[in-house]
Amino acid sequence: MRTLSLRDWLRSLREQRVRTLTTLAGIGWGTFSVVAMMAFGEGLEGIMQERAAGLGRGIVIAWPGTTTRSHAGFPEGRALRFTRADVLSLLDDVPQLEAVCPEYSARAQVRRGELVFRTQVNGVNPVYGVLRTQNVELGGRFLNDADLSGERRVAFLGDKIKRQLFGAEDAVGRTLVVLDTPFTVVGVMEPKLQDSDYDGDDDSRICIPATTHERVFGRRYVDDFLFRARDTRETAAAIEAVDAALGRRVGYHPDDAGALLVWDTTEDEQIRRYIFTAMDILLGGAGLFTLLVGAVGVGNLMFLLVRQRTREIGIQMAVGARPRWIQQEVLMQTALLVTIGGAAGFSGAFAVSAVVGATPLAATLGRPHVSPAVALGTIGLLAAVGLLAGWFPARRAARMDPVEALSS
Amino acid sequence: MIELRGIGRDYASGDATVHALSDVDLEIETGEMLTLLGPSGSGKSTLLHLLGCLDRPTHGSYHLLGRDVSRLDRNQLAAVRGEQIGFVFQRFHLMPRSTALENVALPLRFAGVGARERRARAADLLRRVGLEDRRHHRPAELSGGQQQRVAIARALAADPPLILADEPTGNLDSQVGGEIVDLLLELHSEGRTVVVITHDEGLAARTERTVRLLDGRVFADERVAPDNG
Ligand SMILES: Nc1ncnc2c1ncn2[C@@H]1O[C@H](COP(=O)(O)OP(=O)(O)O)[C@@H](O)[C@H]1O
Ligand SMILES: [Mg+2]
Repeated sequence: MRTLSLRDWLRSLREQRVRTLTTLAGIGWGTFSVVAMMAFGEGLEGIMQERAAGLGRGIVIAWPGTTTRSHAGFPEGRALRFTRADVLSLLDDVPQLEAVCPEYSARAQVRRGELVFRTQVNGVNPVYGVLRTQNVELGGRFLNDADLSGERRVAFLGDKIKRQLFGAEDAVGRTLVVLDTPFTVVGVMEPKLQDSDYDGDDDSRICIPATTHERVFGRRYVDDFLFRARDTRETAAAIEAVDAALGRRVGYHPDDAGALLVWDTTEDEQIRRYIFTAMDILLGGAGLFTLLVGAVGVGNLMFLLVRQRTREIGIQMAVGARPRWIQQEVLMQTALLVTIGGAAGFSGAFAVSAVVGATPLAATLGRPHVSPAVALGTIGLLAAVGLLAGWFPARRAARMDPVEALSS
Repeated sequence: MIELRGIGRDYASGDATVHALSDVDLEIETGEMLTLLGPSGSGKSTLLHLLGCLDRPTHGSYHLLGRDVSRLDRNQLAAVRGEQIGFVFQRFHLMPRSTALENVALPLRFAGVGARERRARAADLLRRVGLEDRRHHRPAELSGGQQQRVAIARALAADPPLILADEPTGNLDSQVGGEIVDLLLELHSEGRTVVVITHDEGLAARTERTVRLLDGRVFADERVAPDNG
């Protein structure tokens, strides 16, 4: 920049120390608001998503209901029952499905030596571990296909029931007894956050193969089943198709609202997304407003400086400064102010995010995170603010008549 | 060097129009020194501003070094000022927050000269006007005469062929004013074209040509042998 006499400019800023500092504080605070609020929103969203994912990502849980209309010779009020085969047939009949898993659910006495607990013992397929985000502690595994086809007496333990039964000891390979039947532990679930459930938290559940469950508990009909669509956006269509396919298979009317009861967790996710979008708009809007107020402050300061330096602008023009250069100079000076204020705001937001993320607050607030999108967006915003604040003062400076400016 | 034809400059002043200059024809040869005389309000400054491309005429044409500058836009005029013209004002017009050295170097910045060379040339010029020891003083720390010397050094920075001075001694006592006049005469003797507005008939007597304005018109244009005895 040919005209930017930084030293001269900084000297005139020093004469306006208080105004300069309040202006910088305005931009800094605005930037801080936008960045910190978005960062905290993102952290909160992250931890809520993690908690929600504890139940399962994108899954639908379905229970057999009672018919509310007669159909194909059956009277209304019939309690429906689905077999494991009914459930697994869905994978062939409903193309939208990525996975489906039958689930037997029972409360049972579990024993290891002298220790006895009543807890949830569920019979499931291997895909359950994936659908319900049950990550496996190192050294173990979830149930597998061989367990299922071999009706093996193997168990996968939630981390809490594992602690209750085995304490800090390694559980894998050890034995526990369910309803007088000994089971070998093949794996333990990693601790996880879970914000919702339908038959107790996963940390207290013991999973065994569905086939084994049928034999040990003498069951023929599943308590519920889970499925997930290939594409979350197709979940509603998948539910409808599942309903229709089951209706054909076990005999109920496809429009019978009572036949199949479903909990579509993707709806919760949708709601959560709406809430967070609303929060982003609200908080981001508040930050944006603060930033705009800061922009007005910068614009005012630049106007003041241009007016105060009228004669000097005239002098510069007299000795050869093009009006265009004067305009660029004022824009650069504005950009400099905005950059300093913005950098301060950014630093503050990063610092506060880092501090909160490192304290116990992170358990409830999540880890505030300044995403690249937010950072780039804010930088873009600051550029717009600078241009907005500098444009009119710059134009005023460039349009000055040198003779008039000199005589001021 | 300078050729003014039918120059007029009108100002709108409320409903009325003020004819600050009308029908001015003037030719100035390269290397000439000329004093502009006339009562207050006669249009001297207006004429000087036009000559200096700080302003554009309402009527007429202005050729500077063969180029019609009366139709140039504001950016082009600034370029002409930077390259061809050095100004010396009654009120000095130094940048108040800049040192003497920075003030002298200012035109070089706009001429695109690098920082090191700017500093060297500005230091040379300050030495020439006898202010090498005041290099790092701000205008407020200098006397009026010293400030005007800085202004002259600045006018010379880009080595322009035309020097325009509007009552350069108007704010100085007569002894200091005399030194400034000597400096201007020295510039003329180097071959620069110099136009000086003054109320000082004594100065007028020391230049070879005197143009008198009255009510925005050229009232007399006298060439005499300069009395520099
Ligand atoms: N910007 C302006 N607006 C209106 N009238 C002006 C302006 N500048 C100068 N004038 C008028 O033009 C005339 C010539 O002024 P000027 O050139 O400054 O005279 P001088 O320098 O000889 O004292 C005066 O009548 C003055 O009032
Ligand atoms: Mg005047």
